[in-house]
This record gives sequence, structure tokens and C-alpha cells, in this order.
Amino acid sequence: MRITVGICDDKDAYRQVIGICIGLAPDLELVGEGRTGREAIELAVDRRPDVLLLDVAMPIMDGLTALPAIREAAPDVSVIMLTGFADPRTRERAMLNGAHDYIEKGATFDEIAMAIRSCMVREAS
Amino acid sequence: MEFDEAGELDDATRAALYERLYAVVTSLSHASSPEEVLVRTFSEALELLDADAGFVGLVDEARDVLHVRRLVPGTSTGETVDVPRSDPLPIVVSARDGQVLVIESNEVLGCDFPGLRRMDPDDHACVSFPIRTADRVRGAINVAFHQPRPVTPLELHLIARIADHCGAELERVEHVQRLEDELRRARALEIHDDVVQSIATAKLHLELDDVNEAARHLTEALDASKAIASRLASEASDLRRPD
Repeated sequence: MRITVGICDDKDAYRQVIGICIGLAPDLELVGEGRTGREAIELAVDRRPDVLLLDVAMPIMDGLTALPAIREAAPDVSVIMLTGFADPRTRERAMLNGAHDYIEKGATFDEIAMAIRSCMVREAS
Repeated sequence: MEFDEAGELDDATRAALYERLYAVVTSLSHASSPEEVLVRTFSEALELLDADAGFVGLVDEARDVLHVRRLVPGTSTGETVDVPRSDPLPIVVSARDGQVLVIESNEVLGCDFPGLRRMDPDDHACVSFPIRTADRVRGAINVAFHQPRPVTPLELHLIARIADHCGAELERVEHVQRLEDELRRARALEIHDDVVQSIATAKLHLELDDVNEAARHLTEALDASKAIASRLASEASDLRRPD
């Protein structure tokens, strides 16, 4: 059974290449995409992915603002924050608000996939 | 003497008070750091009271000390020392308990306040006032005299108002510093994001062996870097003083 993944990122090119990588992974399945924090909340509630990759910096509503709403509305969805700016304060705020992991965008897809799978192992235990 | 017993001021004295306070407020409003707020506050207090010396202290709650700076009239610097908040000094008591302490006309400092000691061997009278912000006591000022002397109601009112303004200005500069930090951080994020996003996308395309797409996004990253460098150079040029 494949792990269902959603991705929310306002950068179309990055979101699309992540989608391609997920499609090539035998144990992952892309079930939804979004470009804003608001779309991330809707995706989490409507599609209920196992894991949601959530960009920090997005227009209208950023990832950090959407995170608590996602955790409340869809507590069974694990959230991995994606960021291009490694800032300890942002990381701390994300983890305190319920993010399961926090990854820099320079990570390889193997590292991102490992983080996705680790979420499922944690949830299972 | 307790401050509350200083009595009401007459009209002429009150007018003199506000006139002198105007200069103090004007001076403090130009301060841009907590340190500068304290130094200016203290300088004003020393000058207004014709004091010989004194101290200004800020509470360091993490280390449970009062960070005290000694100042002499006519100077803007002085030695600093960290004093435990249990120390029996007038300025420490003011900062710790929020008390106003007036010690006047004593040959031996402390005869009205048993258990206290001089900060300076030459002190024979002093006034300590707490510096308050909205939620707590942040520190205290201590104005010292090397001769035994009384402290007038006007002088007490002046120091009280100076201490009040000091607290307000401390809040102001700290708020401004927080805002400036947030603005700097937001700008760094904005600058960083355009370049990093493109590089991260290029990297993933390389993992997929899609060299053409990787090259396209690396070019975007390079163009973004050039645009940023150009913008920063232009801003730096604007900041340079004209010849």
C-alpha cells in the first residue's frame, strides 16, 4: 500500500519536479497539490494524504500560519515543512505547532522520501 | 523620607518642573538603544540635581544581577559592574523591590535605612528611583551627593518623572529594535528565496537526469543572483553621502 502525499508550494517549478519524483517512487502516490496555505488546509481536509509537504513561504497564507489549522482539522495528516531558508526560530515554531519534520529545499529527493517514510513509521508506532 | 510625603508643588515650582522635563523628554526621544536611553536619562538627572555622581542599573533576570554603570557628570562613559540582586545597595533595593529610597543629610549612609551600604565611599546622600515599564521594574537610577544635603520636593518630582520617561523610552527602543530585526529577517528571506528555489529545482532535475531542465533553472538562479546584486549595489549607492 502506497503512502499518499500532498504538496503545497507556490513555486510551480519546484512543486512540479517534486510531483515527478513522487510519481517515480514505487511506494509513494501524489494525491493533491496547492499553492497557498489556504489550499493546503483544503487539501489536508478533502484528500487526507498520509503526508503533506508544506512550503513555509507562500502568498495569502504562509505554511506556518496554515500548520495549526491543518493539525486541528486533519490531525491524521503528517506535515513536513519545506523551506529554502534554514532559520532556527522558524524551525522551532514549526515543530512546536505540530510539524513532524522540517527540511531544507536543498535536500535530495531521497532525503525527502526518507522523511516521508519516517513519518509513517512514527505514526505506526 | 518617603516620596509620597514630599508634598504638592506650587504653581511656580510646577512650571519649572515641566520646563526642565521638556529638555529631558526631548533628549531621551533621540536615543536609539537601551544603553543610550539609560546614559541620557542619567546624564539629565545628574545635571538637573547638580549631583556628584551616581549609578544606573538594568536588571539581568537570567543571571539574577543588576548590571550597574557608574557615571560622573560631564562624561558619557563609566565603569560597569554586575551586582547580585541580594546586595544591600540603595540602587539594588530600588530595582528589586520597586522602592523609592531617599537618603539625605547623613554622615553615615544608611542611618535611615539600616542594612544598606554606600556604593562609593564619598557618598553622603543619595536618591534611588526604580525604572518601570508597563509590566515590571527594569532597573533603577541612583543619584549621589558627596555632601550631606536635603532633597527638595521639586528634585524628587524631577527624578520621578525622569525615571518614568526612561521606562517608556526603554520600551520604545526595544520595540523598534524588534521591528528592525523582523524587517531584516524578512528581507533576507525574500532575497534568499528566489535563488534557493531555482537551485533546489535544478538539483532535483539533475537527480532525474534531466540536464536541460536543470540548466534552465540554474540560469534562473544565476539571473536572480545578478538581479539581487544589482539591487543591493544600487541601494548601497543611495546610502552613500553626496560628495
